[in-house]
Amino acid sequence: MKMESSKSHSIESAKISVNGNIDANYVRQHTLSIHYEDRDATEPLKKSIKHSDHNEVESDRPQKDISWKSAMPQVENRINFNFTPVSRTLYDLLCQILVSCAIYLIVIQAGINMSYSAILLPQLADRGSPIRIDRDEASWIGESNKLISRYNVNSYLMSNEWNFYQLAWWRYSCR
Amino acid sequence: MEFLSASLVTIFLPIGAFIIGPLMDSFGRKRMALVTCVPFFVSWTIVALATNVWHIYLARIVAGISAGFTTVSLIYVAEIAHPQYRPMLLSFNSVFVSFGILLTSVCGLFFDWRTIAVVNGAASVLSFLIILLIPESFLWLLHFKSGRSLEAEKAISRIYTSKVVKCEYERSMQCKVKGDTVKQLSLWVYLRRPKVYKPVLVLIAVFFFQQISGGYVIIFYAINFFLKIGGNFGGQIDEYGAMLLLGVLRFFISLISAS
Repeated sequence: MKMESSKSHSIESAKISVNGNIDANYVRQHTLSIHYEDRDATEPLKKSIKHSDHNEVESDRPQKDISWKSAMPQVENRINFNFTPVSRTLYDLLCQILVSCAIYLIVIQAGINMSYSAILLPQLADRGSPIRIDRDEASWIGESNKLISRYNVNSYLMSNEWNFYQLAWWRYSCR
Repeated sequence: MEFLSASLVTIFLPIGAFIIGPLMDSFGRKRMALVTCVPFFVSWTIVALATNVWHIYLARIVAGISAGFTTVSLIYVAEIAHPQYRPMLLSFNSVFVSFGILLTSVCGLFFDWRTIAVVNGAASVLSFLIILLIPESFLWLLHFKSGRSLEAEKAISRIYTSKVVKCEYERSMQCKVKGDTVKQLSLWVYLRRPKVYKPVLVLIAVFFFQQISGGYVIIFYAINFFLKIGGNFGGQIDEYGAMLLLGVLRFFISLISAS
């Protein structure tokens, strides 16, 4: 709130002193700082002063704001100097892209992990592989195929090889 | 049981994503991004030295948790980016995910799984070293740490040119005031607002349809998928070549949709 009012003052004073000497850099600085406050940033500030749950409707009502769009043309018309509203250079953008690319390196790792199983699974299932996920002998899928023939169920229940996954698969396949 | 090594990552990913929130608030975005590289390296080491299927399962659990940790990069980018460039920089996220998928499919063409694990372990060390160079998020320094505004200003000046630093600092301070007012409200009051619950519902719907459309299943089981399709894919292309083509396609489409 305070910040805004001081800025609006600076604009006024800039307008008034146009006829006298005016420091172009001074105006540039202040107009730029106004350019920088976007609507999203200022509106909640105003709201926060009188905000509570009950007057939510009132606070949502559009309020008069001092944005660069309303303030700048006047300054631009009065002072005859080449005004450049975009002070964020390409260098700024480049820096931001570089920094975010650096932090996104860990996201690359996440992507690698997602697709790694696509390569891992068929190679582990391969017969020549040193670590093998057994499909036919001891795997629970194989065991459950035995189970489906009800013939074996009783003898199977008495065996020691019972575990949670086999139980789950058995329940599933008997449905 | 083979499906486990694919789905353990996705099962443990939400756990990592839940843990990282409070951790990055208290320790900082950059530090947690550095920490994220460590479990990735550990998991690749376990895979490279694995002698048993259970080693691989353990590695996949660790990798899943740290894949959840990678949420920190989104928060970091959202905080350092200027509002004008923020959407563009945030959409780079999917580009980099598909770049990782592309990288794996390229590696799959030349190496077996153990060598790929070694390569990826080296990559995680490299990314650790690169992340050391970037500055801490200035918004975090202003919000969560009192009396570190000087440090925050230095962090801003490392990303922005000197002309813009003051404006960015003021913008961050405004965000701070905004954040404080949000904190006072309870979650339920906050959720009742249309501008909160509408985007949440839209996102839930989008992610639901994204998951149910099965794109991720193809990523996880690409080779099996192409083996099941069978036949030849034209010319010299085998399953790994087809996976590479899929990765290239995914990468360029995500690049187009991001820009």
